Amino acid sequence: MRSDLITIGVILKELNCFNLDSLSNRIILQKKVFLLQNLGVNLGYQYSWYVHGPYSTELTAMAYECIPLGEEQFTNYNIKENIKERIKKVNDLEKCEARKKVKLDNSAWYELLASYLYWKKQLGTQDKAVEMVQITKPQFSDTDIEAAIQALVDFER
Amino acid sequence: MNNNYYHIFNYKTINDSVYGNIGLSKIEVELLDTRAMQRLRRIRQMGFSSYVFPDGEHSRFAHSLGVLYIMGRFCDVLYRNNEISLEDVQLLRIAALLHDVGHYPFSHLCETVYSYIDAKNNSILENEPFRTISLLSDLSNHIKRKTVDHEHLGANVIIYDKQINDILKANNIDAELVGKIITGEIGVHNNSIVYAQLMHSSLDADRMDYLLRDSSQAGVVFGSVDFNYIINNIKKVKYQLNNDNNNQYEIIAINSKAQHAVEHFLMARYFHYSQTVLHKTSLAFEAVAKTLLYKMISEEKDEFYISFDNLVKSIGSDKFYHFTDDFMWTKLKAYAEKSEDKLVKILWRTLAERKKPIIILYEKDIVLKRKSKAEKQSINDPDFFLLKWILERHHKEISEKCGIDMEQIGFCTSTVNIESLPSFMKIEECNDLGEESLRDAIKLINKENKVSFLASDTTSLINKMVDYSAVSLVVFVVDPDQKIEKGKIKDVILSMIK
Repeated sequence: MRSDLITIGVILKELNCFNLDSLSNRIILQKKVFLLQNLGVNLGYQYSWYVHGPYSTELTAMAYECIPLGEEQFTNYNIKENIKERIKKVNDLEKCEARKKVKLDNSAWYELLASYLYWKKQLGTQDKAVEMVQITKPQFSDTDIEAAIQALVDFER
Repeated sequence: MNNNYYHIFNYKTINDSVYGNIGLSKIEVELLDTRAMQRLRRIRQMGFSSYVFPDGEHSRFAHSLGVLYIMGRFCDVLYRNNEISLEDVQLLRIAALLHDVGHYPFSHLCETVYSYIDAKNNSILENEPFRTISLLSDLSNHIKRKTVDHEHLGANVIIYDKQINDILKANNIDAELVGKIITGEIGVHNNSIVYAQLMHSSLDADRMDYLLRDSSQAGVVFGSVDFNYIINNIKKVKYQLNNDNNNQYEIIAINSKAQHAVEHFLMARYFHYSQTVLHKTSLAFEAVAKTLLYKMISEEKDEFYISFDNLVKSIGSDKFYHFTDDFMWTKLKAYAEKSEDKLVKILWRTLAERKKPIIILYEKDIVLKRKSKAEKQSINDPDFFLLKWILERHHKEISEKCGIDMEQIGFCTSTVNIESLPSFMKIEECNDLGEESLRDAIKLINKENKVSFLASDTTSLINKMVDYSAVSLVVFVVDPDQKIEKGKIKDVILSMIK
């Protein structure tokens, strides 16, 4: 198998994202890979801002190529320890304390986390990032945004 | 258009083989004279396609001027209709002129090599997985990482090249924004989607010039499209997506009376790709060049060109301005002569002496796209997919049965789409699949100011074709002595299919 397919297949499997069936699953896949790249795992995907927040066209193309091959194709690979830890951090975002304070489904939660982080990287400060999330994602309340910031403090540590 | 506008962008004119005269502003002339832009004279536009189409020897420099010309024409129309400002025109023209300033040597193939190196340097795995296909095949089919492509290198050149940066600063032009227009990272916020569409869409200035210029240089007729009529019919319109009640996006649409000219453009591009860019012999030569370059670069330790990061560090130094086709040829020659690796010698002779790789099999098909919901299923040739499946999994077995080193056998798959969208995707129903479409897809606007995607317009010929991709697969062997029996290898592979 091609080496680029092996990399993305293993990553999607470990992120529990081996499913493209629904819009929610596709959003989670996009945002989890975005968050993982923000922890310094260089997978080479470029993200731009689209309707549901940061989005990578190339990742969609690769996922559509890789996922139909089946999860079992990507089981016998040893992932580096430091990568495993970062994958765990991304997965743990859905069960952290801050997450329990908001009533959002998983796709909305990951969309909010990734959107906030995207603006923080683009604009540099928390205040500006919050302002942009409020403008671009009016569906999220101030409580939702506060919870996301809290979750990301531990995440980025 | 006022007199001032004309004078600004006709400070100097340059003769061009495709468009006649190209007008330039004073800033554009200054940018053109920088060392970074002059480097592009020594990078050929079509890479190893010239091994098949001998006249395809023109440079990235000429192409950059062509993209500036097309962008200038887009801007003339939008500015005349008060749809963009003079500042927008200056910014877009500069982005067009500089869009290839970070180009690697040997057209796009070097980009794949640097992407492959980046993937290796950032591997997520403890040990390199056992390679079940040859390096030729792995590199041929590797999907490029956007973050190390020539556009990202270009964005760095614009920021770190003192000559360019000083010119932009002196004229109050935001270098970072120029870089983002080039990389396409600006997304859909702040209405900047207009910039993105003119540089990165199915009908952008870059694609328009390379279709016209490359087909003309290659001597094929596919590029004869009515680009003037298309350009004269572009319009900026505001559009609000159904599922996004907050933002209105400014998008570029084409007056529906130019629909047939646009369809002709898409068909022309399709034929240009399938017959010229993805020609089977060019693909095989490119695979050879990629493999040789990868082997050379990955064995170097301290050179400035060993990775994307090192190249970025070299911007502004003499070394970077000599990073051209000729430079890489010289490096490859020295490397191949010194190397004791049998494969390196074979690859070098194949390339340097133009010993055509032996084409064992060449299969083509038209297949239904995975994301489409077309009711009519295509009758795909099962042999095509079976062949691909066998090559991916039984590469070694084939080589053993034929008595040839696995590393001399390569296969390359390619896909050509007429448009990225599936036919069911209507602009008013945009969801996540539609996000990128808002930027990339061609939009039409009719007399009643209704906007639609060309791909979902049922009166369009393109609508009947977009659910299908043209796929091809070429299997080849590199043997500069041409002693390998083509028939035997073909028989072995075909017997495995049966």
